[in-house]
Amino acid sequence: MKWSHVALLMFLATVSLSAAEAEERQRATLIREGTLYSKPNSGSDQIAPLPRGSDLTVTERNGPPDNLWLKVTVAGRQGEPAREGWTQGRALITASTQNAEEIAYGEAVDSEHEAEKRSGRRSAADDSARLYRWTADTFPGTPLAGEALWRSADIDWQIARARGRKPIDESGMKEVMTKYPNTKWADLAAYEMIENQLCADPTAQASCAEKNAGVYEQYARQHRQAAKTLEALYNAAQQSGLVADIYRVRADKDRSAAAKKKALSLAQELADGNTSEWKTRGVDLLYKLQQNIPLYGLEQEQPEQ
Amino acid sequence: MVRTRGFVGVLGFLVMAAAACLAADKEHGTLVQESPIYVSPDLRASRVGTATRGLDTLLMERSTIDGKPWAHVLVTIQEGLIYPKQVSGWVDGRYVITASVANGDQIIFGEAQDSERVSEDRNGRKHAGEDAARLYYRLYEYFPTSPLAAEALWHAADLRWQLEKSGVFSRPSAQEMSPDARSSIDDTFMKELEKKYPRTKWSDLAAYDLLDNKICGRWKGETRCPEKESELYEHYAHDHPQSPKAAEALYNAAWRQAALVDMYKEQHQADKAEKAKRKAIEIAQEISGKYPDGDWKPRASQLIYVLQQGLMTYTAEKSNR
Repeated sequence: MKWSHVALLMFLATVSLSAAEAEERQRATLIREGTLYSKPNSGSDQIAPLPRGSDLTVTERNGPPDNLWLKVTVAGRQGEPAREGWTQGRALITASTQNAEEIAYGEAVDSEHEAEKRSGRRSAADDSARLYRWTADTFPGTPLAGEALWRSADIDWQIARARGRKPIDESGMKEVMTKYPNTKWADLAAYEMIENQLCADPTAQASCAEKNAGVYEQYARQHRQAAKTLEALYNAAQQSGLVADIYRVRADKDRSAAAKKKALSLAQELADGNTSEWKTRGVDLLYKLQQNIPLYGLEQEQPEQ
Repeated sequence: MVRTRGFVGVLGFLVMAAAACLAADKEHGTLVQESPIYVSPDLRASRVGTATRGLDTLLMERSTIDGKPWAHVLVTIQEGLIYPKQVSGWVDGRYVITASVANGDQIIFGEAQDSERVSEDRNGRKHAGEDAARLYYRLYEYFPTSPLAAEALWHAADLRWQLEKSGVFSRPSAQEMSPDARSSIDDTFMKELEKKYPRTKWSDLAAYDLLDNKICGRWKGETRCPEKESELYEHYAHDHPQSPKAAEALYNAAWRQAALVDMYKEQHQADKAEKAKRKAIEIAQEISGKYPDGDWKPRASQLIYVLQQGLMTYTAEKSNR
C-alpha cells in the first residue's frame, strides 16, 4: 500500500469521525418536562428538573431508539456553571430532527395558549419564551426565526410588566431590532419599547400628554408600514385631544386650540385611511373632537354656580 | 291624598303615552358617551336616570340652549334589579347618533371598538364589554345597508356569547359530561346572523361559536366525548373550509384524536389507539397541507411528533375547560 493511500484513508477516517462527533454534539431542547439524572437510568440520582425549552447540548447517546438516553450539558443561566447529566430521549429534539424548528415553535405556541388559560400550567409562559428563543437561536435562517425571537422578547416583556418592573429591560427587544432590522418584528419591538418612554398618568399633566403624543407620532412617522403605525397615530391623536381638554379646563384657550388642531389633523389622517379598525376609530375620535366632547375622565361638565 | 296620588299617576301615564305617540315617527339613535338624563334641558335639573353607551333611544327633538346642544329622548332603562322603565328626558345632544348623522355607522362602530378594547384592559371601565355589544347591535339595527352591518352584528353576537359562555361554564352543571346538563348559551343573535348573512365569514364564525353548546363539560375519562367532539370539529372544518376558524377546528379535531390514543392505551385497547393515532396524524397533515400560514402548521407538526414519539397529550387537567 502506498503512503499516499494510507494518508487518504487516515484523512477520510478523521473526517467521518468528526462528522459523527458533530452529529452527537448537537444543540437540543425538550418539548416536555424532563429530569437530569446522574446515570442513564431513571433509578439514578436526580440532578435537576429540565423544563421545556431548556438549551441543551447532546454529548453522548446510550441505548436502543425505543429507550434512548442522552448525555446532555445544560447551559448555565446568568453566571451559573453548566451542568451535565443524562435525560430520556423521547421528548428531546435536536437541530437535525426533521421539522425541529416547527416542532419547537408549535410547542411554544401551545405553551403560550396554556399560559393564557386561568387554570393553565404555572410555568407555561416561561416555557413558551424559552422554546421561542431556542427556535430563533438554533434556526436563525428559517422563516420562523424572526417571529420566534420577537415572541420570546414580547413574553419576557409582558412578564416584567406584570411584575411591575420599571423601566422594563430592553435587551430582548434591542436584539430583535439588531438581528432583524427593517422587518415587521423590528417595528413591533420598537413599538413595545415606547412603553418605557411614556408618562404614567397623562390625564394629570398637559406636558405629560404632550410628550406621549410626540412619542407616538414620531413612531408612526418613522415606521410607516408597521403593524402598529395606525395604532400609534390613533394614540397620538387621542393624547393631543387630551392635551386640548386639559388646557380647556385651565381656560388656556390658545394652547387648547393648538392641541385640538393637531388632534383633528391626526384623526383626519386616520379617517381618510382604508384600514377598517383604525379608520372607524379615527372617525369616532374626529366626531368627538369636532363636537368638543371631552376625552377621558374630564367630561363631566358641571353647571355654572 | 290617595286621590291626588292616583291623579298624579294617571297624569304621568298620559305624559308618557303622549311622549310615546309623539315618538312614533321619530328617529332612533344611540349614545356614544354615557350621559345623565335630565327632566329638562338644564344641567341643574333633576336627573331621572343614566343613558349608557349603546342604549336605544327615540330622538324626539334637538335644541340648543345657551349654546349647548340638547336631545329630548325616550328611553327604556334598567337600573339595578328594578323592572325596566320608560323614561323621557334630556341628554347631551352631542352624544346622540342617529342615521342622519354623517358617518353615523362609522362613529358607532369606532366607539364600539373603543369600548371593546377598554373591556380587555384589566383597569378598564366596568361594563365596557356590554357597552360594546349594544353599540355594535345598534349599528346593525340603524344602518342595515352599511358595509359594517354584518361585522357589527357578528361582534354584537360574539360579545354576548362570550359573556354568557363564561357564566354557563363557571357553574357546577358545566362539570357534568353531557352538554344537556347545563343551560344552553342563547343562540338567537347567532341564528339571526346566519340567516341574514349566510355563507359569509361572519356566518362561518357564528357556526364555530355555536359548537360550544354541543361540546362536553368534562370528559371524565370517557372516550365518547373526544370522539364526538373530534367529529364535530372535523365536520365544521370541512363544511366551512374558508372560515378563519377552519384550521383551528381541524387542530381541535386532531388533538382530540391524540387524546383518544392515550385514553385507549389506558384501557388496553391497542387497536383503537392505533386507529386514533392514524386519524390524528392524517388530520394534522391536512392542516399542514391546507393552512401553511400562521401558527396551525407548526402546532400540527408538534402534534405529529408527539404522536410518533408516543408522548402523552391528554391529562385530566388539560381536558378541562
